[in-house]
Amino acid sequence: MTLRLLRAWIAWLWSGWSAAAGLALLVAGWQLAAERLGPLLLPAPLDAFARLYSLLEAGVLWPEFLVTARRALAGFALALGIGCAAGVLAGISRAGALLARPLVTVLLGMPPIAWLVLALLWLGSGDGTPVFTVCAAALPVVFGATLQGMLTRDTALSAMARAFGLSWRLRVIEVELPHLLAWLFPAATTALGTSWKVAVMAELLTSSDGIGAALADARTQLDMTTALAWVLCVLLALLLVEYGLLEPVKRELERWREVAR
Amino acid sequence: MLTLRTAYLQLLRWPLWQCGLRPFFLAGAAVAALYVPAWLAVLGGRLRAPAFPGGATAWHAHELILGFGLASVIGFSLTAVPEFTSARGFGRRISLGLFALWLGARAAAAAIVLIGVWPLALLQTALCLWLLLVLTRAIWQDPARRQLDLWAALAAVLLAATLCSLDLAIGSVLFADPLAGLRLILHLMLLLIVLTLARISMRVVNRCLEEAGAEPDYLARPPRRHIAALLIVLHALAVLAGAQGVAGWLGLGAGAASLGLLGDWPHTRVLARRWVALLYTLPWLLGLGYLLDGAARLGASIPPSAGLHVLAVGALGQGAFVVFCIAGRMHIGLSPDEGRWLPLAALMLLGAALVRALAGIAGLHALPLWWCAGFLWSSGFALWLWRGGVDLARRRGDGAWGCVGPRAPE
Repeated sequence: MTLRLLRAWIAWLWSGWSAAAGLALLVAGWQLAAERLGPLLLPAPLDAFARLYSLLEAGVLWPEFLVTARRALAGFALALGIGCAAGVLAGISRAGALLARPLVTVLLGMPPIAWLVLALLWLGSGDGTPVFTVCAAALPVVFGATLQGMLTRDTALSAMARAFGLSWRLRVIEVELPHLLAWLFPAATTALGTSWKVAVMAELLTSSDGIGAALADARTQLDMTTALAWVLCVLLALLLVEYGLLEPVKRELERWREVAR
Repeated sequence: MLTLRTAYLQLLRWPLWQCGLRPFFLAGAAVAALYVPAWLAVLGGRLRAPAFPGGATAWHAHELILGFGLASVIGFSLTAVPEFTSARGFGRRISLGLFALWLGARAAAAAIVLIGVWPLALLQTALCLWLLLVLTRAIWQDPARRQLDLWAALAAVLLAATLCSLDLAIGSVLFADPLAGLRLILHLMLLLIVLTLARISMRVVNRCLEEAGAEPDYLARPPRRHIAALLIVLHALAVLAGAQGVAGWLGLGAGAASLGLLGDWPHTRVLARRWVALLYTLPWLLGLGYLLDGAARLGASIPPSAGLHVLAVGALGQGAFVVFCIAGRMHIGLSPDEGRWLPLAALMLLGAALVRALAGIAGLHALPLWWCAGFLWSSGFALWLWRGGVDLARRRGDGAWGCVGPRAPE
């Protein structure tokens, strides 16, 4: 099992070459724009990578990164837990779904900056504000997907599982959960991306530490290279988590679809 | 006049002209086996290079790309295009005419100091445009137009070769220098390898899978191929435009996309089969070459020629060798060669590419490595000429004519 997972993970990583080619194309576009606009407006990619490395060497990168990661992941975990539980509860009955739908619309429509202002008034300028804002921004995405997953369950399949005398535990694991995860995983990937973005934004406006605060510092000093280095740091972390962890897990969990085909 | 006509008709009867790949594969391998030692002799001061526009390096690149590379492309296209489009093969007159132009161009390049650049430019222009016309007709006759991507790549190679030849004569008006045009042709030839590799590898790998009792389910997916093709073209254009940084990133992208082609291959024991293994090395060489090229352009301490030579000596050389060995047997009515010399020659070519790339890296002395790489490369092709090439000048043993595959025994 472990060996198979390891092989699948390596195969997945190998298939990332095409994604790397896409990223190289993007960076080539950045390079072209940098050559046209000049280093004051847009530093070259290599300069930004070099600054990122110098931040790492100076020991500045990790502390700020860990602060932001802690806030983003805490907010994301809260959103995932609450969103899943609420989505399942709302999806169990049609009445619950009817009640929850406008709630999803309202929550999705609420701009994260509005949550940020409210959180700042309620929780002050500590960790609570970014964590709350991240949770509020990611929650409707997870909640909506879980609810939709619950509503689109194959009831005939559940009935057949019951008719064959499958235990409650097996029914959940083998029938309900794979279907739900197929809805949840794309939403979780989107929510994770949102979490990073909102965490950095919240820090930029309310905190004195974290990547957002470092970005604010770079902005006040008009240091475009450092600002881009911090942006790169966030993007690299996001790519690493999404392509190195979430996508392989998603593929593994959705393997049953390939077998079914 | 009558004697000349009789001689011409007698010449046409030679088995060499019955299939387009025969003269060109032989000539390509001969250039590979002879010109590299000649270049090493020039480097060692034992031979004087022709007074070529752009200097001795331009002569070396010109003859290997438009001598060896173009001969391989012409031989391949004269055989593959009718096969892929299910059209009638090209006649003996076309093979003979094109070969006369190619040979004339090589002679003109050697005698450039005596006759000037124009004869070379005109012969190469006539060669490329005639071939383009012939191939376009064949591809357009297919109502489904299934080979448009192949046509586009071939047309790009031939038009770039035409422009490069004319630019030599008019004095680097179109390209910054003769090497810039030659680099463009090289990248376009590599694009052709990416496009044709899928067609050849699917046949070869699936046949080997079937022989091994496995499901023949290898599929070279178009999206990966399209990404690799796009990045190779963009990289070539950026190099041509002199945008060093952009070309660097696109080089890294082209390398990554080339390695991405390997994702489709079946990573099973079938890779150990010689034909599959030979084809499997091509995306590796393309990937390594482009990654080195990109890294060098972005300022890594790698000589700029390292990546370029992995691409030219490795990917183009190995690609041509594989086609010589597969198509060069099948289309003269012979079954694949199972001799031990073949993997040895392939390893020599692979070794040549890697040794040439090492020259200049990590403070290694360049000259001995150049000699070693040159010896391996020319020996690999000389081995093919000795063991496989001679059959191209002989009559088919199965009584068939043209480029058709081996006739099944009755």
